[in-house]
Amino acid sequence: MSDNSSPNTTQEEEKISLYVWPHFWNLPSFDIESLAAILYLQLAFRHHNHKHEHHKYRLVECTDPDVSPSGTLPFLVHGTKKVSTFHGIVRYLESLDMGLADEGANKEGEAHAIRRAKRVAWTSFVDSQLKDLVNHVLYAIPENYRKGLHTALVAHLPIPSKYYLPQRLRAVVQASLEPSGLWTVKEEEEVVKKHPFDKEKVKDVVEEKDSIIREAFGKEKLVHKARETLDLLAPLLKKHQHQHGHHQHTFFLSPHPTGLDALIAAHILILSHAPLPINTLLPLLKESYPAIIEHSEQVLAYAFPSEDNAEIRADVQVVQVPHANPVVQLGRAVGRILQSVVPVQA
Amino acid sequence: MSIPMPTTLQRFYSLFPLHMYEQEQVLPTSFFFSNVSPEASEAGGYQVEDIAPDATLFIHPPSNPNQTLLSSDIECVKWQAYLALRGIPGGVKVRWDLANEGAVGGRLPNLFLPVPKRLAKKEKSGEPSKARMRGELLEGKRIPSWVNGEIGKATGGEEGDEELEGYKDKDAQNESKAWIALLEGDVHAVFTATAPTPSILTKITSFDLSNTREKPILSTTFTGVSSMIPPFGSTAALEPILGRYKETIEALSVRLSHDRWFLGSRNGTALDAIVFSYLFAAMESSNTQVREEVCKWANLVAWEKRVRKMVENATSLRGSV
Repeated sequence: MSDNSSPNTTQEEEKISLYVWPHFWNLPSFDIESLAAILYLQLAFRHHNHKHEHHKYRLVECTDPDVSPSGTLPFLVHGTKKVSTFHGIVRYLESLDMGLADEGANKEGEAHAIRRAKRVAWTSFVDSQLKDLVNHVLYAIPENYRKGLHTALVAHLPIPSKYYLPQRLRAVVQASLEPSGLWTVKEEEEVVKKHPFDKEKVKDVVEEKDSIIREAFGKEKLVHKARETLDLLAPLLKKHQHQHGHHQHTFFLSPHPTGLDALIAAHILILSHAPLPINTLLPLLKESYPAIIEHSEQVLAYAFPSEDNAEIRADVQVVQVPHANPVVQLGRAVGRILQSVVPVQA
Repeated sequence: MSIPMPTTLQRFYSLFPLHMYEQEQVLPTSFFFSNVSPEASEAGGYQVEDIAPDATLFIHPPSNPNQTLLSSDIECVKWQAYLALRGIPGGVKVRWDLANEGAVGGRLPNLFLPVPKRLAKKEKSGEPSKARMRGELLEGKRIPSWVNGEIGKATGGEEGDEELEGYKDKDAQNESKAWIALLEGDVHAVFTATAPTPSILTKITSFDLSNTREKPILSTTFTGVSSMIPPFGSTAALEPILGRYKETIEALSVRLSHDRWFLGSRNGTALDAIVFSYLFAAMESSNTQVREEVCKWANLVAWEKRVRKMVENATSLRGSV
């Protein structure tokens, strides 16, 4: 991932910059959508490098979601154009012919278009169902959140933000999990002993049993929901013989990796790589859906090949953008308020 | 010893008359069984007219009752279309004099299944027929299992058909779940994002007591999330939402291509009902971008027209309202 000074022969002189949450846990990013975007870009550019169209992009590790026009990371900057959300990025790259979806375009015609339509439906399904499950495991279980995401966020955030930003992000996820009933945090579980001199409450035996039963039911509910979702996704994984006949790659819905693969792999990789103390979904995956785990590792290996295949790696320059200082953020916030109150005349 | 009411008061009170509504027949709960209808009863053969006579759906009022009986609320249109497309014989009657807060589950629509009058007479003769006892108010979630049960019995009850809920095969059924997630996620978000904001006066004077929560759409707060000012307010991020909406409408059009029903089903299914409700809402929407996006695809427009006619034919206004 070094800066190559090869001449840029494409018309657009501007590089593509992808702003994502930073890396953690051996993964390029600890956020699901950012990881999916990185995987997609890597796969797409590797695919194009195969065809000898060298593309470069800049990976910017950013910790301030306000920089993006929609308020969430990842987002892409290309010249003056800013595109946010994973789907927006995929659409934009495909419009520039830099995406993954051009295999077999002219040959199959209709079947290709229908496969593409199916992909749109399945990505939405993954976005709502699978993401809810993974978010539940990451955010809704307090021990997981403390040891997992909270540590990741706090490690990268500077001083004022690290005290309030993680809670705000968690509140956003809470709002999206509550309608489907996946937010089961009881407020008392969060209370840690405030003073060292507080006497430890002697818990009633009945209370213990209650909480054990409640936990067990919660886990059962989660596993049941996860099974429903994964049972629908597992049949989509099809085995395809590679051209040379050596490898057998399995991808969702098509013989080549697509945006859907990047998205699902991102979810599964975070589940498997994050050090979560209470991870109910990982043993379920390992036991009943090993093909899905294998697929995600394969996508990661495809996107970041080892040293021997250096020539098909994408040229990436990794940059870190420092978090804006609080005064700048305040100014930006006031600017946004004024912008929304006083309608801007186009 | 009662004091007679003075005539002025009587006249004053006559300005506010008391309406008495006829009592709906409700059977004691011992006759109610689970929503999945049991096998044909001991009372004899099962006739088609016995399925849900006078089933009435309580919905939100339509935007223009003279022109169309389809509700202005997407959820209500979904269930109207579902009942019409799945082929409930005799059609479905609608009425809209019930408010959201009074509905079962806090959310319209609700399906009212009255006790058929001829059964009430039969009951007196001491022959309760288990299969047809009703008098319940079903909330939205319970309607499909009732419909599946009724349709299954009426068509002779092939087990496989009933399980597939009208889809061509198991793959189509699985795929339909993905399409439903797409519609209820991305397309629904467009309607939430482009809904006309109510004026301050309506905001002050209306009471929104509904406690049903919907999934939040992609939005930013007025102040942004990472400054020290606590975040308040929210504006929907229209660009990504609309972009995704265009993608989904295109995908819908491609998937439908020239089929009669989505995913090649023989008759209308739940997916068709949901697609129709969103397309109908898009065509009726006041936002030009939302409307134009659907109008671009001719097969979707034609399909929506055809299904709208079907649903309107099957829906009728309840006489007494």
